[in-house]
Amino acid sequence: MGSRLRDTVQVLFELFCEVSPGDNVKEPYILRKYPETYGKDEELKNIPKFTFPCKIDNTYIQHYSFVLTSVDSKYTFCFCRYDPKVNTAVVLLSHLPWHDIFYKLLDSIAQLLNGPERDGLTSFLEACRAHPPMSGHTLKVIYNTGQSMFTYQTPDNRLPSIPEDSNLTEYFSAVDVKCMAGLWAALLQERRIAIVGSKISRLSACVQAANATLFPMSWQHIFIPILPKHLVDYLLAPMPFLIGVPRPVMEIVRMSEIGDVVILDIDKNELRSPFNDLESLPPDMVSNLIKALSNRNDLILGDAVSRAFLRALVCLIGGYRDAVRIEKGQLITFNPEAFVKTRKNMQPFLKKVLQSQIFQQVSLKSEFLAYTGHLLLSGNDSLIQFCLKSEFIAYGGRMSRADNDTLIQVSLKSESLAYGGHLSRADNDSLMKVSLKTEFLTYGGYLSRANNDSLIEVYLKTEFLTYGGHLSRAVNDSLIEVSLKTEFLTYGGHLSRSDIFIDERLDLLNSGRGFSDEFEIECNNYAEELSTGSGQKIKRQYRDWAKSVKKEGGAFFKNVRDKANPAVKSAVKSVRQGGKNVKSAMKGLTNRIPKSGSRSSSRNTTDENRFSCGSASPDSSGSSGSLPVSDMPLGASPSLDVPPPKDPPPALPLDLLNEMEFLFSTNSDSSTDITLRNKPKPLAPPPRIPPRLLERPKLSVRYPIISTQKLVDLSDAPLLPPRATPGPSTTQFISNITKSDEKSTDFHTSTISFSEGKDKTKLKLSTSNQRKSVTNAPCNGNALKLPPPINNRQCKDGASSTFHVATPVARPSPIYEGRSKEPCASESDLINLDGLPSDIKEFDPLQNDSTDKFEQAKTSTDSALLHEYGLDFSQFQFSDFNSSSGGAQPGSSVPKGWTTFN
Amino acid sequence: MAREFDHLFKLLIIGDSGVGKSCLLLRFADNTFSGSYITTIGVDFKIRTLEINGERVKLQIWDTAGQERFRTITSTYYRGTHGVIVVYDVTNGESFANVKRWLHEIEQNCDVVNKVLVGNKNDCPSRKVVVTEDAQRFANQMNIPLFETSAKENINVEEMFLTITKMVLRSKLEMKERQNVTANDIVNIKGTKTKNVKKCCQ
Repeated sequence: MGSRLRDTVQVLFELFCEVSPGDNVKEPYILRKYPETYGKDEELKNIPKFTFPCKIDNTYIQHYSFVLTSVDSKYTFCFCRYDPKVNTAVVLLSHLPWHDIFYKLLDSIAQLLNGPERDGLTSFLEACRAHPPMSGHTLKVIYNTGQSMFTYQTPDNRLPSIPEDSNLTEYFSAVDVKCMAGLWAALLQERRIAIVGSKISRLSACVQAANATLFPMSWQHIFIPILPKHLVDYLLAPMPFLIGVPRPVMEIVRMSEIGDVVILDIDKNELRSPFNDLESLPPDMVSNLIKALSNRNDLILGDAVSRAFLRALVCLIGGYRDAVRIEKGQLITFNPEAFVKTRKNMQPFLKKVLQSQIFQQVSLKSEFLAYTGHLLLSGNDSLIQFCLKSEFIAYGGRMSRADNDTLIQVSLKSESLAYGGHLSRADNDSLMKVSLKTEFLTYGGYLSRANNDSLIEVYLKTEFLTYGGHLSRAVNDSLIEVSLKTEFLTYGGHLSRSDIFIDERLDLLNSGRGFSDEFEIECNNYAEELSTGSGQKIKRQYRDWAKSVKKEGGAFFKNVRDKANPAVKSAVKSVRQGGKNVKSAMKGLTNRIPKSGSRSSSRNTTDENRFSCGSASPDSSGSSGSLPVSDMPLGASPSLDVPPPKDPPPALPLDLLNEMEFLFSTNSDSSTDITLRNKPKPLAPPPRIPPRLLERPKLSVRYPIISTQKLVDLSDAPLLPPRATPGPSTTQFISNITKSDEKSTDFHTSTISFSEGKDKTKLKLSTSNQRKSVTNAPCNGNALKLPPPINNRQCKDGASSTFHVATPVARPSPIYEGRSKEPCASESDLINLDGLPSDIKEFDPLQNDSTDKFEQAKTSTDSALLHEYGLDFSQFQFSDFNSSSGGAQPGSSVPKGWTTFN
Repeated sequence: MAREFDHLFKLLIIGDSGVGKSCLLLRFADNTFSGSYITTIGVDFKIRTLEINGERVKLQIWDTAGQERFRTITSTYYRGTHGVIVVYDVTNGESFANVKRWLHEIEQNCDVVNKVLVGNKNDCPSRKVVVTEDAQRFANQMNIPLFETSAKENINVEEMFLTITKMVLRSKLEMKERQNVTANDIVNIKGTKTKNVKKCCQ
């Protein structure tokens, strides 16, 4: 978590090896490894000793992990499975902390390794050693000549829960609440901490789980989940450490030299500390924490344990938001003294916290956020957590709307950060995957809302990038087609999505047309709900701030425009400007927060309103009413009988951000689907060809491709170079990356037509129908991943169509559909264009496309973007543009009129 | 049971990566662990035993990976150490700037910890960008000794380590003395107090 995870994860695992424990004479050694060419000698030299850190209990199969730390202090996780029967351990090295997935993978590997199909191991490893799918997606690898299947879904940002998270489960069962709380307090004080246990597997799990209780902070010091015997002297380190010490190793420690160390003995369930760390914490917070942890009924399942710690942390340091100083017209700063004052009766502790490295790491990041104004927008804790996790921030990049963890995962890994580029709203994986690897970033351009991969595909390959321009809300291809070919981009104007939002709002307000009532009311309600939140003060300030912005609306926008023009050099300014816009967006949102109290409904509303003032789309309205979600008690873990909640339960005060997050996640999911659909395309077509046009034909192609015997479905992972070239033609592996929500798994898996069969299809259909109602149910943004429109889409396409086909198109549709159905008179001229379905065709450049309905809406959005920058094409251009782009479909759709903006 | 040393001091070496911390350590240490553990577990230490004024002092000098990611180094990081060796690269102005920031931070925390400032790679005048006067002025201002060293040419390394060792030893002895005085004045000091002292003197 946080800065200690690696930025660039290219493959699921770096290295596989089988290690023999050696014997009395011989030290542990590596029996085999894959890939053979793995060149990190220092690691190879050390792996055996870490794998067998001491004499290991050889009576049963154990899973455990250790961690190597590189010079840049990044972790490499090493997952081990020791099998006493063969008396070797299989080990996987990875940069990803996915314990449970790798343990599962190790089981599969062991099965192959020790079974008759041993020859298949290499090809299995090869198939698995792919670019990991983006968060929430599933990878499947069929092996053993089709008899077995390894499948995993990449973790999303949920808090660790019991029993899914084996580390936490182990930790929770090993020690009691008092010990957990005491250790947590010691971690917060950054003590020198040793966790001692005789079982290696339990030991490593406890160390990892203990670290995870610090979330969203993370341990910044020495971290050695299993300390091998030969490194025992490292316990003498004077700096803070968190080290798991196998009991045999502990026995050779000279306790007299080790000094003041906090020792948790997980065998005896005993915490020995020379300090009174827990007592130094605010007593009521501690009692709440212990109470929450002790409530075993709730704890058995779900993330209650993680959440209890998270809440305690929020209680302690959540006030940092209030320590953010907002001055009109100035950068936002973090004020340590104010921070200390944010919590009465814990000031001494907060002072200490301020001086701890872990908090410094966090606050440094938050400060950054504050600077760019994004903190304000981060009403929601999840968002903050995300933001805090990324080094991105440390590079001065800005991430205002990292709605999903995918974004984060990817974005953090990209050089983008190093160049200070910013990606404020990359809703979908494709975007990230591609964009991050393009020079785009190196030019410091930023792309705040490239919702679909078409955009990306085109985008990245155009000179656009070289101009460092940035386009925050290129919602549709048409925009891209055109925009990429115009100098528009060369002016580096930037349109952040929130800009657009607020601009729209302001436009409406200024023009006296007002907002959609529904949205307004909901916003107000929401604000009331929030009134107890710690972010209240900020929000208020925000509102004031935004109010003034609103007043000066015209000038403000002009300002933005002015700044945008001087191309790249203004990038920094525009980022700041963008931050301001975000704030105003926040204000706008706050005002309009849903009144219904039902989160789901409010989200929908927000969604729609964002793009248009039309009333809720059919999907959202239907769902909002039907969902139990709205009544879901805050803090209750929704996961009890269902698979783990997609998102953290809505325990924390919800915020605008939450709302927005929902939007984004919705978008992102759908966009992911798009990716799938487009996948074939990216490889082939020249970037310039309008993606839209090509997309359609491709759809049908997809199935055939999937059904080929050896298929690695690259659709979701454009980037991954290793997979790009079809592997050896062994036919027994089929890996498929699909997007899957827990709930939607069925229909997603249906993609794998070969394995699932017709039944699945049916199933998925039914699922989809359910979805309509369910979509909004989960309180959390992620749960809503599937855009309601899918259903509609599906209906249109007929039962035979698969979700995949339907989904991609559907993504933007929720918004637009709603819009088209209820044309809003109050919308600007842009909107008017798309207002009536009947009119759509006239405007849509891509009339031929069956999706033109959506297209039209998009177009309007695009123009709104442009408009925002004073590049108002809407007046003259729509007809012009449409016709031109339509005519230009074959590949060159440069509208003549475009160069005239400005 | 005779111990092989009278004092064990733990020192910390901090500074950006690339300023030559490990070279300094290698140059100084007489007891090096095989393998570079800083590349596998993110931390490493070197040992050397010195004799100062007839007292055998064992030095452990610790180095951790990735310090530059800390914009500030907080007190939790060095509170267990007896002394801090702060290293910059005289050919790299930024490393000096970072060092200044860190030292200011340490100063603000009001922690009593012995420090020396070290400008390493002082072996190529043409590439030197941090001029001695600037560094000296800063060192004076912070009231810490400055050494310009070259691990490569083995210039000033020994002196630097000897100096910090003496500083640490002196403060330990002073503290002991003070403690004795206090102990005479007030017979019963609180257990915790004793503990603290013990920690420093171990």
